[in-house]
Amino acid sequence: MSEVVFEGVTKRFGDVTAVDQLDLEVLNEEFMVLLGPSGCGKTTALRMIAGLDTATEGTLRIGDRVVNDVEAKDRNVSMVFQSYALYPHMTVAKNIESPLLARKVRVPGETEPRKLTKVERAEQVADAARTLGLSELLGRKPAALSGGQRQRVALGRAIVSQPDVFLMDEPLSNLDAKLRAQTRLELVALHERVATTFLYVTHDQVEAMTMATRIAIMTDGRLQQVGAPQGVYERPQNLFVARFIGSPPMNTVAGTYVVDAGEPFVQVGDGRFAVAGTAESAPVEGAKVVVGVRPEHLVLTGQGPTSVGVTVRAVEWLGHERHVICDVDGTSVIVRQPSEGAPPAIGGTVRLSAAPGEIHLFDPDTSERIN
Amino acid sequence: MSSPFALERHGETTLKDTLLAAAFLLPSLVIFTTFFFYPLYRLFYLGLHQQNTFGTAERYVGWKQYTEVLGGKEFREGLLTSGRYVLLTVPLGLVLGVTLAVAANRRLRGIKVFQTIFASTIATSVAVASVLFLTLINPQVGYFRDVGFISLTDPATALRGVALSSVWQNLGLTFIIVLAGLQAVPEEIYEAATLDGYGPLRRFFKVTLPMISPTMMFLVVVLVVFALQAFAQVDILTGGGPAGSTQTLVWRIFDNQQPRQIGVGAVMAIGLFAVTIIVTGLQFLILNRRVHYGN
Repeated sequence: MSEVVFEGVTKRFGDVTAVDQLDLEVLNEEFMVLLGPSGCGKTTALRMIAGLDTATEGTLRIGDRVVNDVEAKDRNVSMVFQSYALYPHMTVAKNIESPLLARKVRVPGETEPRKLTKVERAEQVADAARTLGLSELLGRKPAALSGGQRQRVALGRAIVSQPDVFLMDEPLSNLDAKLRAQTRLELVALHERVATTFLYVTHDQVEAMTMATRIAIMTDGRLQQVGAPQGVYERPQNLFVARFIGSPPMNTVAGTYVVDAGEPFVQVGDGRFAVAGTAESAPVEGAKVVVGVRPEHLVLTGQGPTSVGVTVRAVEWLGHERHVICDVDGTSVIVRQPSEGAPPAIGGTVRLSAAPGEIHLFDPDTSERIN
Repeated sequence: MSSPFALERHGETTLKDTLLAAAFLLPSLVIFTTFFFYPLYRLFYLGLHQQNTFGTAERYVGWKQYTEVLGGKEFREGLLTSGRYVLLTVPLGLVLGVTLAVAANRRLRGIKVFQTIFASTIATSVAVASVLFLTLINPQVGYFRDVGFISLTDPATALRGVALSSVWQNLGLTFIIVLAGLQAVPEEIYEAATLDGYGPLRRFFKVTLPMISPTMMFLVVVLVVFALQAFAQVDILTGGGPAGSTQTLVWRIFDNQQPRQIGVGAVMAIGLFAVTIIVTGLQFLILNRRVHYGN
């Protein structure tokens, strides 16, 4: 039961900097998801906490202990690997028991962690198996299990030693879509039950949004933003986060910041969007900005003072909704609509508007949020 | 998934299909017949006959020759020597091969050089290896001339000397095959073992060895067959001596190639063939239970 802290952690492989000056605090019993595209350094960050990679610079802490030089087995962490990394020659029971053989475990009512006796190990394995619905499968070998069952065995091996921190490296990526959705719910339930710090790596924003207490978004080895899923979605701190979170992604078009009769606007194409009043960090008038609007916040309207004319290029019908793909000044913009009613004609011109509070402004040079 | 076309054809074998199948089988059939089935038949035939001194005439002696030779002292002693030779070469060869492969299975600068050196004996022939060892163990000038326990001139130790040359010569093969087996083990399994707190020894015996068990099984079978068939190293290093202490079964078969004795040699060869099949079969029966295949 511990927090995990990265303090200025850098990891270099030769000339490649995989993780660059990472400062991140994973709170006690939090479900933290490290989210980012492949190669962004999230797995390396996880492996440094696991003790499988060493940090080139910086301090790694678990609880109040600096673990940079602590061996993996003495960090009291467990990891679920992407491939599950089950021992194929061992039964499910032996796989789950495996960490108990060599690792010391905290026993309730005793001060010092110790190795468990054979009877205690059997109890722990039975407990873990019951928790994960594996009791019937204990005698089988991994080859005789389905993907979902193997994944649960990997979880069982992780929970049996009652670690301070659970590390998970894309544990759902080998499951089919239906099983993945189901396992997401199970992982959240497991997190609540074991009340332990989870550090979970994925490139799948749906996993991040649905399971995380907080999300840490990384790209190119750098941390971009940390926050609760809703906060990250509603106030992305920079263009990368804005475009990475959300499906379809946030629309971003070039615009100019203007102030008309004391009211702020952004000029886009032939029209303009009203912007919610931004006191302290308002850009200077005439400044070039990148305007971000989520597809569901764009509305097709008639003529109006705060609307932008676009050409309809295509309409994608998805059953419960439809995506109207439009063109403004050569940039593609997606509008999410309910699927009722007639769709706009392809090739026709329509006007888009959005509530002032839903307009996000970014600096085109630094990509940082400015409102 | 069967297509409608497959359904139409199901159960029917046309003449064309049969001819095509025969055409595909023919090359291997020719090779097997020429180099295996016919020689085996010929061996069997020779075993039932006795030839004169010049090999110009033969007479049928029947099964008596089989029972006499296979029950005889020469076959029994040859088999015993071959058995000792198996025990001297196979375990040592495996241990050394696995040790070298484990040592060389890491990502270090220049490791390829060592891997190449360790594997290099695969490029030497038995004859070259034997001559090399003959020089090394030479009682006058050899580097190992004072190493008593492999002396080729002492009946108590000569087989060890021969075995050592064999172990050395097979080491390259063993090394390469074990290394290939080790490299097929997913890195994540080792990482999981690291997190599970496995030390190097437990990791080796509980993870590495089981993971490469199919490789080990293959090697045991192959090395045992190699040992049972060892001839050239015996002939070059000791010529069966001293005092017949290195006369393996194959060496004795070869020793019985004069026309008068060829029937005896043939029976011993058939005996060796049977022993090899039985030993290999037993290995499959016993080892297969401990071997884990794939995922």
